[in-house]
Amino acid sequence: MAHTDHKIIFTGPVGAGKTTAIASISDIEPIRTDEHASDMTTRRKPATTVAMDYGMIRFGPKEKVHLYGTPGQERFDFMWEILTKGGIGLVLLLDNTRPAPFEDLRFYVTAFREFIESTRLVVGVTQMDSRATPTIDEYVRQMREMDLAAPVFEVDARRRDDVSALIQALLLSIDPTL
Amino acid sequence: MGGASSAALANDALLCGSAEDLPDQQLAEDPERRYDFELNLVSVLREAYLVGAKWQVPTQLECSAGRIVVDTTRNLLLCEFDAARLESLFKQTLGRRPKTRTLNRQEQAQLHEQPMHAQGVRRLDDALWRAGLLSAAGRLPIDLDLSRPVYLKYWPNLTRVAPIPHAARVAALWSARGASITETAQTLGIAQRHVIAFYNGALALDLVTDDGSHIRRAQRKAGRNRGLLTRLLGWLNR
Repeated sequence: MAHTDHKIIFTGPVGAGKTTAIASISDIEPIRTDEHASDMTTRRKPATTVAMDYGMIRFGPKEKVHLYGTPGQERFDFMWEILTKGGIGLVLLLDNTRPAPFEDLRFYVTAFREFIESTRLVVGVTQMDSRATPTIDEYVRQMREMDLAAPVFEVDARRRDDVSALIQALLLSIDPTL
Repeated sequence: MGGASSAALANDALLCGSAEDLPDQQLAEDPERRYDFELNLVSVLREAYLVGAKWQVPTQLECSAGRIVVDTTRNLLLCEFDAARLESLFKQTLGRRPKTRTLNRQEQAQLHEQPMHAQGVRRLDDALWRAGLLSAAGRLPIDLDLSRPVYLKYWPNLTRVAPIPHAARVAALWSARGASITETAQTLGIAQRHVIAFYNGALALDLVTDDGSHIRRAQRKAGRNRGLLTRLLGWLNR
């Protein structure tokens, strides 16, 4: 899996909307490998459940960006470093209805700190229509305490516009003059 | 977000005005292109928002149409009247500046027990953003020094505030290094009115500053991926 192709990594806790977000923006039917291995995974790791999501954006005859959703469970964290190699940036999705979303934020930022330092981060907060608090302002305050500055948007992972906005913010954070 | 979607185009004239670009000096000196932020309801709402955010309590004020509660703890703006009236109030100059006060515990409990009618409830972030845009109507705050760079404290919640063209580009630039209004328009190759609109929306949300000390050095440049990233951005904008 050590692709050096262009890729964007989606991470966050189980249920935060990684699979849905990738499906919203992907040009292909996303491959969900948290079930039994698909064709692609069986070629690489036969009969293994590797627990990640895969999608793709095609925007030219030969150009594409891979979208990888990390397994949400911590037991798969050994895969995260491999997945992030060569990545353009990180999309962190957080579920506002989870018991401690700020702990989730701290956990994933810490786990991906090295990758974030060398690329860029955007944060999407899901399920805010089910639970309005904490607010986006509070997420920003938490991130400041972690010496972290990144776009934080409320998102519905089912909406392409929301996921697109996150990725656009990620790209423009790398170079505002794109 | 940065592209010319139909929704963005529909909002353009309403939220950004239709003024043509002007040379720096002319833009700075034209009184028709200025307005006094402090004489508009948006300044009172921002004050209520800041007080509420500091003390984590709802605040309230009385305007000509009735009571407005600014609840930063839930990102809500609650009106005793139909919130659709806010749009016209945003465009008017204040006769007398309403006073802001925090709600006591009893009032907070009442607010939660007897919520205002649905027509009186708006998202606070979007309401402030729109208040900034509609109050300004494409003009600049009277005290804004056009020669000074503008920095962003943090990005607005761009997926939930009224869309304006190129908002993400301006946000990214002012988060990365800051630039004056006219320099921003030139650097990004966009109309001044879109930069001015973003400035006014961000001002209402207390997101702009002329102090760039919080800006971290760029971690990574687009470098050789620039072409690919540009094409990807174009694909996302279509």
